[in-house]
Amino acid sequence: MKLVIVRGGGIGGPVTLTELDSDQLSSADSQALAEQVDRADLGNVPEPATRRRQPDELLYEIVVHNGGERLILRFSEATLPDEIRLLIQWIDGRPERSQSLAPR
Amino acid sequence: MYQSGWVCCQIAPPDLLARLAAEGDAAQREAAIQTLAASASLRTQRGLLGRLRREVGVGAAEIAGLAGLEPSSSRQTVYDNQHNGRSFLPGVRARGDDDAPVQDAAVNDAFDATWATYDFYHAIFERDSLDAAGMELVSTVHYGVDFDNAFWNGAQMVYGDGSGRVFQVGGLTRSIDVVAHELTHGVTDFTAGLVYSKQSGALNEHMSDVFGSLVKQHSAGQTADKADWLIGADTLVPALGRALRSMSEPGTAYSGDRQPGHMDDYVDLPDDNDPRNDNGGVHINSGIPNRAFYLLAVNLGGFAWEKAGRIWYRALTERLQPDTVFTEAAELTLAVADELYGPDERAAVENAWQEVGVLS
Repeated sequence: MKLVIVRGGGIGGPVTLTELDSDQLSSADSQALAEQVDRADLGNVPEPATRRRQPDELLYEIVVHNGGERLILRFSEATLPDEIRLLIQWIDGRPERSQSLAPR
Repeated sequence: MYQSGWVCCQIAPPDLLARLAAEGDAAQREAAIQTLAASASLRTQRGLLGRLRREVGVGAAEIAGLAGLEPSSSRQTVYDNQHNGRSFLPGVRARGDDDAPVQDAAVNDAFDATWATYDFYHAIFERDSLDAAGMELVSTVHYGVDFDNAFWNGAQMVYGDGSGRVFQVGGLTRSIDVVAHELTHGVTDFTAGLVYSKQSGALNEHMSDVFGSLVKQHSAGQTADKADWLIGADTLVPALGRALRSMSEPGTAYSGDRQPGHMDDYVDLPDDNDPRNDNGGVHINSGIPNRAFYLLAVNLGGFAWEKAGRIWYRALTERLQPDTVFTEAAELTLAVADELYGPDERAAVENAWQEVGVLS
C-alpha cells in the first residue's frame, strides 16, 4: 500500500507531496499503518458538505494505492476528518516518508 | 425540518443552535445566532461563532450584524492551541491587551504584529479593527502539529508553528506582513467580500498582499523605492526560497513560483478542490495586480500608503463587489484615483494596469 498526500492552497508557496510506501516499513510498522488506515475508514468518508471557502485554508488530497486500486479523497482544513488528520500526522512522523514539491 | 416559530432559548444545546443557524428559516437563523451570541461567555462565544463560520459557512459580517455584537472591551487576545488543532480553537488564553510579554515568542510575535496592523489601519484609514466597529482581534498560535500554514478562518487568525521542512519553525508569526495579510482577509470579509475563487479570489489575495506589505513598510518607515515588496520573506526554509511572493517580480520568490506579472501569462486553473489548482489560482494570478500596485506605488513615490494605498483602500472598502474581476477592479481604482487626487494620479493608475496587460 502506498499513500500520497498533496498539500496546497494555504498562504501560498510550494505545493508539497508526501509519500509513504508500506514496503519501506518493517512488518510491525506496516501493520501500524494498516491499522491507521482502517481507523480512518477512507473508503467510507462522506462527501464533505459544500462550505464557504476560507482564505488561505490548506487543501489536501489523499491518494491511496492498494493492490491495483486507487482511492482519491480531497478536503480542506475545515472538512478534514480528525481520523485522517491523525493518519497524516503519523505519516509525517515516519522517517521513511519522502517529501517533495508537487509537479505542476 | 424545524417548525416555524421556534424560539431559541438558553437551554437549547449549542449544536442544535448551530444547526438552526445553518438550516433553519430566516427567523430561526436569526434567533439562533442571537442566542448563541447573547448567552455565551466571551470565550465560548468566540468558539461558537468561529464554529459557525467554519462549519456552516455563516459570514463574519452576517454573524456580527445578526447577533448585534457590541464592540468588545478587548482590542486583541492571543490564544495557545497547544497543538490540538481545529477542535480546540481558540485555545488557552495566552496574552491580552494589558498583559506583559510572555515567555512564548510565538505569542508575543503574533501580539505585536497584530497591534502593528491595527495601528496601521487606525492611523492611516481611521478604521477601528476589521469590522470598523472595534471587533476584538483573536489570534491562535501553535495550531496543530508541525502545521505549515497560517489562515483566517472567518472569525480569527490561526498560525501553525511550521514543520521546519517547508516553513521555518516560528517563521509565520515572525512575519509582520503574513500577520497583516491574514488580518486583511478579515477586512475584505467585512467589506468587498471577494469570493475566494479565480479572479475575485486573486483580488482577495492581492488586497491581503498589498496591505500586508504596506503594514510592513509603515512599521519600518520605508518609502516605496526602499521596500523589498516581498510577502513572507524568510518564512520558507532557505532551500525552498526567499519568500512566498514578490510583488515587484512575480514568479521569483521560490523554486517553482509560477506567479505571472502580466495578463499574457495568466494561469487559467479550475476551482475544483485540487490543492494543485489553488482555488482557481488565487495565489498565482494575484501576481498580476500585485505588480500593478508595485508599479503605481514606485511611480508615485514617497510612502506607498499615502496615495496608492489610499486609492486601493477606498476601492476595497467602498467599490469592489464579491464577483469583481481584474478589469473591473482596474476601472474602479481609476475612478477612485480621480476622485481622491485628480487626473495625474488617475493616469498613473491607468499606466500601471496597462503595463500588466489588464487595461489596453
